[in-house]
Amino acid sequence: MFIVSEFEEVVKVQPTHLEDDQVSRIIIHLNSMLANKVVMNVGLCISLFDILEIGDSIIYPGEGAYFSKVRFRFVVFRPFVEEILIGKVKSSSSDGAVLSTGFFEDIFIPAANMQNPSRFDVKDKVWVWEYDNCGDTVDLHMDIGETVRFRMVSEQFVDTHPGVDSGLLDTGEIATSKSKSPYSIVGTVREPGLGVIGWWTDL
Amino acid sequence: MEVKNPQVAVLSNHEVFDLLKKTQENTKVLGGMNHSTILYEVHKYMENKACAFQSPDKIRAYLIKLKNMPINLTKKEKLMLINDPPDSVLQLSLGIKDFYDRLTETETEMLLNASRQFSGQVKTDGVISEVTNGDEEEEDAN
Repeated sequence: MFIVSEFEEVVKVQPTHLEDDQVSRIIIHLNSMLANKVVMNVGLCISLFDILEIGDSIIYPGEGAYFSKVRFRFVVFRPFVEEILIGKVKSSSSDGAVLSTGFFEDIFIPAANMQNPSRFDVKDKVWVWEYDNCGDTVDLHMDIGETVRFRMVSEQFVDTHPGVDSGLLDTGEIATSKSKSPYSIVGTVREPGLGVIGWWTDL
Repeated sequence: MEVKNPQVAVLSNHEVFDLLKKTQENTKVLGGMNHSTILYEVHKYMENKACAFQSPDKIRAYLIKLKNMPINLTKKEKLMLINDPPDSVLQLSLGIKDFYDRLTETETEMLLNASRQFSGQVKTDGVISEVTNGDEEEEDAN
């Protein structure tokens, strides 16, 4: 689920912080810069792991701040494809269900990846697995807030940098969704053992 | 900012849990709202999972046990066995590719016993503390 990634960044320390400890200033800067942010093709950054190297600090003419080149490692949320993860159902629609781990909310289970056979209950807005129990069909609901075990199938990184999706697209192309998340995961529950955890303990 | 190496190493959930707890306690290294929020949310996700009850010694002992078994497991499979110790054959089969071809019945039993011993008697919402006979039957049906 979690990995360690290595980065390099030039950290600027303002003159007001000159008397503070350099290392803790750099740690605060890195944590506030990266925590809870998605880095393209890396993942969702969580917290600083360690600092490998702090280069010589430079003061540029006309500037009171000093700049140091820092090599550091960060804890990143990046599950691998095929990994079994646990999440909670956040919302459901006829397209599928959105799951959340609490800190990451862009996990999508498309309708095609639901247990077979499943249907979407329009009235209650939940996915229902029509489990065949020796001839009787038992409806197993996937309610909002239920804990679900799922397998990760694919991941997608989208550049949400300003300008990329600001209508400056090629002619004929329509901007799909405006609020696309930079990092999203597609999962499946279409295997025995996957789906709401209670399904496999109470049966 | 430059990405030097997108993946230096993989961490087990317990390592992350431990690290984040230490970071949360040390207010001198907190980087504003974003950082506190993610620390809180990850902690909340993990506090009732298996990783909250593990210790480095237990994980090490478990890994040595796995290594001494006649089963060859990949790194990722071992990671999943640690993060979410299986409690039933069905759950075990999810994390291991081609499970039914690769493992014999005795090997399965051995792996399951080790995993149960590793997770102890803790009851979390991700791990079932007891395997009922119903589960076994369900397994055969598949």
